[in-house]
Amino acid sequence: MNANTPADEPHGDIVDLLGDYLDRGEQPPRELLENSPENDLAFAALVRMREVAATLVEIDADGSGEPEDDGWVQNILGSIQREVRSGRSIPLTHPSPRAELSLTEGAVRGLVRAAGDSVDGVLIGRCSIEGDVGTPHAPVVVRVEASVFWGERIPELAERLRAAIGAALLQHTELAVEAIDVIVTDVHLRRSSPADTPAAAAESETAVADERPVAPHEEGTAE
Amino acid sequence: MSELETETELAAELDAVVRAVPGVLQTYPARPALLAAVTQAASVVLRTPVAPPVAVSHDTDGVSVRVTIAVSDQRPAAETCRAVHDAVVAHLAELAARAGRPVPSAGDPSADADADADSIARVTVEVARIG
Repeated sequence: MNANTPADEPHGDIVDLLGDYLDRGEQPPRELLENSPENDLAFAALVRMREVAATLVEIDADGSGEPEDDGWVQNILGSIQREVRSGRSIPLTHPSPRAELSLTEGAVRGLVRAAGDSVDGVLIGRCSIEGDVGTPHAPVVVRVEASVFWGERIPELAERLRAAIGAALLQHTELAVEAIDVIVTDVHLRRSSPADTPAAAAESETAVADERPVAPHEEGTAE
Repeated sequence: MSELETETELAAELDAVVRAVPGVLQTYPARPALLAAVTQAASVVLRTPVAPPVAVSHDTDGVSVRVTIAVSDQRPAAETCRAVHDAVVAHLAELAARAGRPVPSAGDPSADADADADSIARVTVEVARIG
């Protein structure tokens, strides 16, 4: 976790701006995306997030007529804003001493987020790469926080998530991934879920599933 | 023709070379995004050509090229990145051969083809988006 990027840091203008286009059902101007990989990455993540969020039930737990706190959405938007920044350079090898090849950390975080979001029943919240990514073959740990849908078995979901992220990193990077830690931070109710009750969806739990031995609380389903 | 015009022409050529590499989706401005946006806005207002995304510079060590790209997730990003480097080196070698200068690349562009090149100082390829 980056100590310089607190969870409550407000997300920047670009996420708001891109969100406004999506709200209006419009495509952002091409030059807004083509001139900036950060904007490109943010837009792709926003589109995926909105697609998933549209399948979730909005909960009016206190009867006020307003949906339940959308803090988790704000956290994801803030994470997207921070993580699309180019960050550190992750070197790629080449036999020529005159070649300087690299992936940006932002590109790799975007890859991890896309791989995670592709797993059914999951929405990636925060993603980080811990370790000396600037040194080839130095071990790194990838850590993701995820929201999951009600009724999913968290250990199985964590395993699918780990497999998807691991495969993407293996295909596209030369990182020596030592572990992929998955932290489930929220459980949300899907509209089509048979257990579609506000009381059930208002419940939230946190479970940690990583490469270390499985803890007892990982055995159950998200219910 | 001034050196600046030559570098701009070479940058435009290299941009086309890079975009033609399988797996490359696009090139990005090789300057900070904000500066690039300001420059492009000024170009529109002043009706001047927009600078190509590939940065080319010359110094005593030779020519340096820097390019930032988005790549497809259908081909390994590292493979595409190396292919872009090799395509840039091969193009510079071709230009050098045409101009009668020492050819910087001798045969196999995937190996250390530019090791003996006195005209290539550095080729920097950065992947800023995958997929």
